[in-house]
Amino acid sequence: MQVILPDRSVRTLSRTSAPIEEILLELGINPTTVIVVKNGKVVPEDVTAKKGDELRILRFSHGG
Amino acid sequence: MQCSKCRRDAVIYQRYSGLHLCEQHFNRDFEAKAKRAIREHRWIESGDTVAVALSGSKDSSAVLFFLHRLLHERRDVRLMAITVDEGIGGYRDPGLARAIADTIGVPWVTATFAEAYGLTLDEIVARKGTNLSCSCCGVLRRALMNRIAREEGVTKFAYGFNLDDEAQSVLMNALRGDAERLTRPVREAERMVPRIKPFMYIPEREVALYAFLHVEGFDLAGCPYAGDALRGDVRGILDDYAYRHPATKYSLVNLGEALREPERVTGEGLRVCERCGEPCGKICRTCQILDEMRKGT
Ligand SMILES: [Zn+2]
Ligand SMILES: [Zn+2]
Repeated sequence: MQVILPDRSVRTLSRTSAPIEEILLELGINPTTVIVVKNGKVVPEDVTAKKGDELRILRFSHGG
Repeated sequence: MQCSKCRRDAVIYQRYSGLHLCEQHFNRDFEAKAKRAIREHRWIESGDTVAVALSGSKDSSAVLFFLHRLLHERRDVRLMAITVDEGIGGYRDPGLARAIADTIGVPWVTATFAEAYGLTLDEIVARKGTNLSCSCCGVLRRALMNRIAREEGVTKFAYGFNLDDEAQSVLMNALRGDAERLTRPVREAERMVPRIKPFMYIPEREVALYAFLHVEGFDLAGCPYAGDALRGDVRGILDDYAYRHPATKYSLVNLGEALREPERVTGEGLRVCERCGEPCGKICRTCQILDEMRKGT
């Protein structure tokens, strides 16, 4: 699966399947501070990502 | 993952409520919380002109979208958007805010630091450094907003402050040992036009999601000069803690509201700056800052 990080860099993960929350924690990201878009759809972090999925992680800036 | 209230796919899991919500039920939940905040504080009344301070950020875009949805059928309340262009090179073109206001269908006005003060924020930073500039910018922006508000007959300013902002402020005041701020929120010049915060009970992440679902073209970037180190620290600590204890941010906001003394609405303590005629506490901060800038100190 492919993960597009908030800084737009791309990571390819070799795992076949894992809950998104677990993937985020492994990347050092607090799941409650981001929005995750899986294959173009916003999903909660307890959804499982599988091989071939694309995850886009959006971090929102503070204030303004 | 299925919505806890229907069979559609969920877009969010709310740890603090234990609910999964689909887009439709998320919107309903979000708007109910914002309406509750407005109702509880009696923030919008017949005859009001509500102005959103629209920077183009997720928070201000979301609050404009929400208020338009809430108010567009009311004949007795007016809604508008005001954008202040501080003059930060390469950051938030006011055209972006304008496009958002146009798309939503709300009248938009703008003002610039350059025209109002003869100074851009970039110039202020060059003289004062990043740290001080942030608070100077806040003072100057609010003074300018107040001026436009009077010209436009604005009776309420709506800000996109969310649960996280509020909770961070309470915790910051506690960590500083600032009992004064905890019990009496600042009542300076900007308080002349009351501020309303419809999203104060809504987590930042949900405000971002609401903006993501409804507003095109909002700005995800933060201000390049935003330099409040303590707030950044507190944000990190609070997010980590709240991940394990999901109700924490609500507890802090409730604590802040419980400690706050009711605002006195007498004109007591209210003065007008001799220099510019703007309302102020003691000495007009705006004029102080502008003096320093112009002297080049
Ligand atoms: Zn639903
Ligand atoms: Zn003054």
